[in-house]
Amino acid sequence: MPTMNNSQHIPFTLEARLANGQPAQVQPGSVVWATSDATIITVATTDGMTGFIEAVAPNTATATVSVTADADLGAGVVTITGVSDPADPFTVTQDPATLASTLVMTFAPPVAKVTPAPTTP
Amino acid sequence: MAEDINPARRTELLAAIAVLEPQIRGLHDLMATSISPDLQAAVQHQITVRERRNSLLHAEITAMDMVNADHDALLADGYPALNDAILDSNLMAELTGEESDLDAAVGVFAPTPQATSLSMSFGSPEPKPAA
Repeated sequence: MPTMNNSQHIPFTLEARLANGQPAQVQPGSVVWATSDATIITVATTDGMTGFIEAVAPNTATATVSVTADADLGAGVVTITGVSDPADPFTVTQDPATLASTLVMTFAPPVAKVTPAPTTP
Repeated sequence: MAEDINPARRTELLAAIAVLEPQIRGLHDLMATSISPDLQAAVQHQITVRERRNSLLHAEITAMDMVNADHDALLADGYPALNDAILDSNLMAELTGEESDLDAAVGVFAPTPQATSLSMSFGSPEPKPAA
């Protein structure tokens, strides 16, 4: 399970492959990433082929990412897709460095109490 | 003329002409009588309108005659049948050989292979850069 805390991100690399497993290209500019829950993770990338899965906020829920691209290098469009392993989703935990670890008390010098005025019986 | 492609339309047009032409003749005759200038103007207007209509009717009938003549020529040409092109054996062998050569030439080329899958790989978590 790819787990990170909310102060971290995870680098990714995307590869396109032919049916025989050999590396292939996709139409430049056609790669589109999406996340199943943008309150947990987002995707940061410029070319779509490399970038980071960014932690957004700690959450008990998990999230996955998906990607589409155009395999046709010409004028046509052939859409291929990829999805991160749903059995191994992303988890974002709290960065312990940002958690409070101690409580500090400070005290001022003594001051006179306020004496209440006597009451007439 | 062997066949009129649209006899109903021709009948309709001829009927319209049969109504118009006596009207036109009569209107011309009326112009030759001693009628007032205002009445002459009204009569002349009707002559203009009806002669224009008559001219258009005759134009359509003439066009129909031309279509019928072309239709006759098409039928005389054997339409709709169009016989197969027949070649002697030498020419047929030459044509078949050319077809084989073209197939061989097309077979030289292959389409650009396309990606069929996208594979993601992830590294280890890293600290985000300071904001």
